[in-house]
Amino acid sequence: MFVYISKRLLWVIPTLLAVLFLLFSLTYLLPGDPADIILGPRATEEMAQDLRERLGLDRPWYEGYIDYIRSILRGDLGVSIFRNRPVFNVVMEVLPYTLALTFAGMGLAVFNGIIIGLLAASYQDSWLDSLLTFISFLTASTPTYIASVLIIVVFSVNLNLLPSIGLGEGGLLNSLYYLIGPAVALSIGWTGYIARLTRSSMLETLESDFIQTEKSFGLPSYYIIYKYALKKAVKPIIAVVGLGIGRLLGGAVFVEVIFTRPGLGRLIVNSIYERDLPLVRGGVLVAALLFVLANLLADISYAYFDPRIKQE
Amino acid sequence: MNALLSIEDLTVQYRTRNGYSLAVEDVNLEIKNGEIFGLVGESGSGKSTLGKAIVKLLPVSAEIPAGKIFFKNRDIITLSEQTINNEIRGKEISMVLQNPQNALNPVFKVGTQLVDVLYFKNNKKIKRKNLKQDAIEMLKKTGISDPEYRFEEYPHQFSGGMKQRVLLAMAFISHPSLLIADEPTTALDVTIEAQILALLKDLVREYGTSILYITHDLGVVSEITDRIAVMYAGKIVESAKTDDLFDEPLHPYTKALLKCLPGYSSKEQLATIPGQVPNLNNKPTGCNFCPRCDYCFALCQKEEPRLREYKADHSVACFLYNQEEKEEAEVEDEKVNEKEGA
Repeated sequence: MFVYISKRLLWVIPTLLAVLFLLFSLTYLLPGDPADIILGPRATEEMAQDLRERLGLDRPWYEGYIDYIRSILRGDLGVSIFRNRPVFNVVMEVLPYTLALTFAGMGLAVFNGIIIGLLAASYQDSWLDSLLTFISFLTASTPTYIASVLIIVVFSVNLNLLPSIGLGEGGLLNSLYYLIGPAVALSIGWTGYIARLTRSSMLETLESDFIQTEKSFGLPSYYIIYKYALKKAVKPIIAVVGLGIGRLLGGAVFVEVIFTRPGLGRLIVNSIYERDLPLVRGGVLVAALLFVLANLLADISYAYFDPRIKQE
Repeated sequence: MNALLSIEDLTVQYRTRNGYSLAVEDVNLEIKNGEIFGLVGESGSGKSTLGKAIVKLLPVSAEIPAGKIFFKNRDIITLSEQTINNEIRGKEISMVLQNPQNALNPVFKVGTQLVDVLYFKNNKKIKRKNLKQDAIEMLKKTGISDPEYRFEEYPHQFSGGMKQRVLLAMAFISHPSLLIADEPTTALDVTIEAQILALLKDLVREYGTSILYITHDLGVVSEITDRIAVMYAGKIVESAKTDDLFDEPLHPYTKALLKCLPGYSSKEQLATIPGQVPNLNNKPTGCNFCPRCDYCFALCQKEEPRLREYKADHSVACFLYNQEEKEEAEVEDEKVNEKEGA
């Protein structure tokens, strides 16, 4: 178990080095002089020269790269050009909202998806299965922005039940209340996907020889499905959830924009528009780090569900 | 008669795209208390279907249009799924399946799986932790060394033979009256097979359990069974005490099977039975074995022989051993010939 986790942890290092290299080379991949592009046509040569120095463009790229890695290791992500504040602080300001939204959305999707998938698998080929399959396909193929708009139109505008914008002032309860709409919108696509995955994984497991054994020894069928089959079937779901959480951490842009919530995804997109290079780099780096962590967690939780890994 | 299990005129059919295929047809058999009964046949002869029908674990496409399965004087076919699960499966009748390699759940400890069988056998009345000692005892009895330690291990840490021992422990832990063993040693090495067979004999001696031993291997059957039934294309064609069957096989199919055993016939080359088992959707009229039979005569193609007692405890379904019917047929044939001659 220890060896397994250490191996996974070691893999994080090359992954992050590759990410850092890509982010650093962004500056050189942009066509033209980054300083001119960032500052626009009305900037003076002095201002441009100043920015070039700040971005390290006046030195050879490898020196800049080593400096970049050094400062990252110190926890220094640079200074945002337009906000004139440390990137680290800017990112940390929005991070809690992103984490809350992602985990609430994914949590809903996992909970509902597994229940729908289990029901469909236990009543395979019945009308309930067909209905749930239909719902799964419908939700899986609904883009997040349509789901967001629908929720606002139905629950905020017509029924007046949910707030349509913002974070909610003060108090945890109020924040959670404001989180409902965005989280549900985010969860819809993944719910259908996880439901389909759960159903097929369960059906495959229920075909196994060991299920026959368990039946022939007279274990009750609810027990076979919810204890013996579910634990075996859950592995592919974990893999997908790991990837999904990682993706949502930097990618919940539509929901953040439509519900007017601050968040990492929205921050990255805005910084790209503003050509705030240090902020783009810092934001993407944090998103990548969270992505790697989410997958690391998924890998580690595998061990609980697969004894062969636990023994490694 | 002290029959533990008595099957009467059982037919099992599968729905297929081309109509019904009869996997088991009009089967009668009886297993007495403490008896090891061998059911022998080629692949597709319906022997596994018969085994599964006894505990009603047939796939959804299967139907039982006729027949009765009396187990301790209750007809299993008429019992509800609930009753069978609560009172029969894993309690009165246990089943060990063909391939031990995938027969245990890979994500649960062997001990957990063993204890669960006992837990439900006792209708959840005894706490699991109080059953652990019984489970460890059972593992020890099936020849697993260091059972306390192995109890906490997962199936992938067991070899094929060890897994089959665990499965036998799961089967015997509830002291069943009948064990259905469906080719339990087919997937194992010959040396391991011999060990498992020896273990099975020991367990039968200790618990007095009857066994329905399903296999294609006559060699294995000769070692452990008291009586044998030979199945061909869904029907029992011969049934006898094991010694009688080997000393004096009657049905041409049984004879042919024995010739296929290495070391049974003196010829150097191993015999085979030409042809194939008939398609179950489209069985030939008359005797099913007729197309592959060296002794086939006119009557065999017209009528199907029924299983009849040839002598005490030895039945066969073949016109060769049914003098009356054979003579009648010959007389009829002569009449036909005479008419044609005239």
